[in-house]
Formats: sequence, structure tokens, C-alpha cells
Amino acid sequence: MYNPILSVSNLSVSYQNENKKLHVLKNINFQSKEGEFISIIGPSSCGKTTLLKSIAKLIDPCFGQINTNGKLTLVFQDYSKSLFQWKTVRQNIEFGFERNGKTGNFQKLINLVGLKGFENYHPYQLSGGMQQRVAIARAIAYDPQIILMDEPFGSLDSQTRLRLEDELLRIWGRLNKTILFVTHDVEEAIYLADRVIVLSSKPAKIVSDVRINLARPRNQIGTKKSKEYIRLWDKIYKFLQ
Amino acid sequence: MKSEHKIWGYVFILFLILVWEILSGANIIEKLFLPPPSKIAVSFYKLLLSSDFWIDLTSSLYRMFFGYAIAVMLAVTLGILMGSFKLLYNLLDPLIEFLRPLPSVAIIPAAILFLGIGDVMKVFIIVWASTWPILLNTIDGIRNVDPVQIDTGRVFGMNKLEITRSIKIPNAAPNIATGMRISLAIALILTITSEMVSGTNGIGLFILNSQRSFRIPEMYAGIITVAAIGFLLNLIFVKLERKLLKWNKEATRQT
Ligand SMILES: Nc1ncnc2c1ncn2[C@@H]1O[C@H](COP(=O)(O)OP(=O)(O)OP(=O)(O)O)[C@@H](O)[C@H]1O
Ligand SMILES: [Mg+2]
Repeated sequence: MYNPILSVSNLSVSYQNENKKLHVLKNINFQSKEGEFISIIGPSSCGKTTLLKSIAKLIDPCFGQINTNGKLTLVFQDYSKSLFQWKTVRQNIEFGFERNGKTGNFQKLINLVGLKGFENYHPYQLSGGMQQRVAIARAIAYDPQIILMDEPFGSLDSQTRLRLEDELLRIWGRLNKTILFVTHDVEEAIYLADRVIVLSSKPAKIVSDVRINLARPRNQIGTKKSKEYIRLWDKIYKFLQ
Repeated sequence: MKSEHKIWGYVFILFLILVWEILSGANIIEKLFLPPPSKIAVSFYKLLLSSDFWIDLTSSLYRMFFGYAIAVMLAVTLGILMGSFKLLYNLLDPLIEFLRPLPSVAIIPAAILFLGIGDVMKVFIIVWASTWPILLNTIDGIRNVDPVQIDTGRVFGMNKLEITRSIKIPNAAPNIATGMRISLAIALILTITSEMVSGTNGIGLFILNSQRSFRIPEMYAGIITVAAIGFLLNLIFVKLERKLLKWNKEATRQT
């Protein structure tokens, strides 16, 4: 088989609340190969964020193992809380370069995320969609092999969301990054990914791992009309029931 | 729009001064104890020409800033440490909670015993009093940094020290500034108080001596000087704070 860039084996996570133990993840197993785009979908509060945080080593699992073959970073759902408010767009993005320990091509990156002309703005002067693009650019500047994204477009209006989905695919197409993309939106999950991992409700188990063989490049209108897309949608939607 | 509103506030002050002038001039209020503003203005002007007054003023300001600077360095450093290390916080917090409500002037007699009546004692008192607001606000600021900010540092491979330096401290900067602004006023209060209790020079002593030798207009001129110092220092501080921490004012307004 292939050499996985990320492998999660028998992962179980629980939180200790006062004297009650809350089991959130139960025996999660999956692997990802380099350059893969994986969507993770599951019902509300099933443990999606917990899964990403465990992979990012922000929480200790109570059982199981996570192996990563390369640097990773996480794009938080709450972009406004994650950006550095005292820094400008440029400084926020350059933080990624600094942490990577290398100088990067800022101009190329700012063009890639479509924020040219806003370099000297502070986060509070930007719309939500623009702030999320700064957060994504900062993650890319860090040049990780794996990018974890926690419902990055969850709080945006649907128009901005569709546009950013396409931008993300375009960026992903240019850089050879492995992306783990958490969402609660079936359409978004299918549209973006090579694979959709479906989680059950708490304690979350993997109920299905669906390969998405839709042609790339994809587009919001054509792709979502195709028979295969509709078949996949039905299939995944049923798993979520 | 904002400055238009402020103009009325200044007009009102002028109006009050005018009323005072009239009441005092007509001896409706005791002229001896509250001379008319015109008379105070004259003695204030004379003061500005006397070199003794400038020695008093500069020695007061010197003590104040010396004490304040020490307090800032001490309290910010200790506050960052206490905010970062739970053990240290648990060790020192009860002591701080006990000492903080103590009115600072109450320890002056004890300070005199140990440090004499000179500048060392005065600076100590200023440091003592100015430390608390900065310390508490710094601890608060460091401890209440949003967990997402800290997690962000971690997913960019930062260690604890780097997170403190590059994420926690900038996040706590607005709190630290608030503490520093409160302490600026406190430093002035304790400068004047300590000079009145014991001293050979300073504005505080000047005010007290003017009253004792019944130079009442001079006494008021001294009081006005202190008010002006407080007003100007606060003005400068707020201006600086607005400029340096603009991101905070704007960012918190949005949410
Ligand atoms: N730090 C914590 N301490 C205790 N319980 C927690 C903690 N974080 C999350 N939980 C609980 O774990 C469960 C899963 O939370 P998690 O945030 O992983 O879900 P999620 O799938 O990301 O939810 P959402 O769809 O709302 O984003 C929830 O029931 C939550 O209450
Ligand atoms: Mg979540």
C-alpha cells in the first residue's frame, strides 16, 4: 500500500467533566495519502473539532495513536479569534513565514488568496470572508504538509462560501498539500473532496468512508448536477440519518 | 461632532470660574479662604517666575516618574509571571488580596521607620501604591487570553515561552495599559501625600507651607498646578494609548 502522510489508529478521546466522563471519539481509524483532500462530516457536536484538535496535538487522546509524516497546522472555525488583531494582514501572513523559518513569497501568496490591496489593513477592517482568507494564507505561509480546517466557511453567507470553496480548490490544486476539511454540509463535503469520512453521533465512529470520483476541475453548477454527485449526496445523506 | 460637545464642557468651566469671581469679589464667599480666580491667577503667574517653584515642581515630577517607572517594570514582570504560572499565582494571590485594599498612606509611618523621611521612602510609597492596579490588570490580561489564540500559537509550533512573548503579552497589552493609566493618577496622589507628610521640597510641601503661612492664593496656585499635571499626564497617556492600541478599540467595538 501507499506510505500514509497521516494515520490515525484506534483513536478514542473522552473529556472529564466534573465526575462524569464524556466519550467523544470511539475507535477512529483512517489514513491519508499525500495530497489528498478529505472531508469529514458528522452531526452537530459529534466530535469533529475534537478529532482535528487531537490530530493537531492540542488534546491528548485517551487511547490510540496518531502518526504524521510532516508538519501540520490547523485553521480554526473561529477565524476572528484566531487572527492576531494587533497585526496587519501582511504581518499576520508573515507570521506563517516566520514560524516556518524561511522567507516566503508574500506577493504570490497575497495574490493567491485575493487580498491584494489589503496588506496594511487590520483584521477588524475586513469582512468575515476576507478574515478567513487571511487565516488560510497564514496557514499556507507556514508551508505545512497537512492543513486541518475546522468548518472554515461555516459562518459565512452561502455566496461567499461557494466562492471560497472554489478558491480553496484552486489553491489546493497548485500546492501539494493534504487537507482535512471538517464540515457539516453534505454538498460542501462532496464538492471539495477526494474522500468523505462520515462520522456517527457521539461517541463518534466512522460510519462510512466514501470515495468521490468526480472529475476535476469541478465547478459549482456542472459538478453538482452530475448523476454521480447526486448519487453520492443520497448515499452520504442516508449515512447521516 | 465629539469635539463640539466637549466645547460646551469647557464653556461651562469658564462659566463657573466667572461665578466664583463674582461671588468672591462681592465677598459672598469668604475672600480670605477662597480668593477670586483673578487673584489666584496673579500668584500663579508669579510662581512661574520663581525658581523655587520650579525646583518644587521638578522634584515632585522626578519622584513621581521614578516611582512609577519602577512600579511599571515590577508589576508588569510579576503580573506576567503570575498570569503564566498557576503555582506562583496560588502562592501570591491571597497575599495580594490582603495587601491591596490597605490604603497606601497607612504604611507611611512604617516606611519612615525603615527608610527615613527622604526620597527613598517617598519613592517606595509611590511604587507600593502604583503597583497594584498594574499588577492585577496584567494578571487578568494574561490569564484571560482567548484559548483560541493560544491554540493558534501551538499549531504554529510555538513553545510556552514564545506563546507568552508573542501572543499573550500583546493580547494583554490593553489591560496592562488600563492598569498603567489608573496608576498614573495614583502615583501623583502618593507623591503629593508623601511630600506633605515629610519633606524638604515638592509641590505637596509647597501647598502645605502656603496654607500654614497663610499665603492662600499661592496655596490654590499649587493645587491648580497639581490638577494640571494630572490632567496633562492623563491626556498624553490616553492619546498614546489610542494610537498604539487602536486595533483593540476597533476590534472590540466590532464584536
Ligand atoms: N474542552 C472540553 N471539555 C469538555 N467537554 C468538551 C470539551 N470540548 C468539547 N467537549 C464536548 O465534546 C463534544 C464534542 O465536541 P466537539 O467540539 O468536538 O464537536 P463538533 O462535532 O466539533 O461540534 P460542532 O458541530 O458544534 O462544531 C461536545 O458534546 C462538547 O460538549
Ligand atoms: Mg466543531
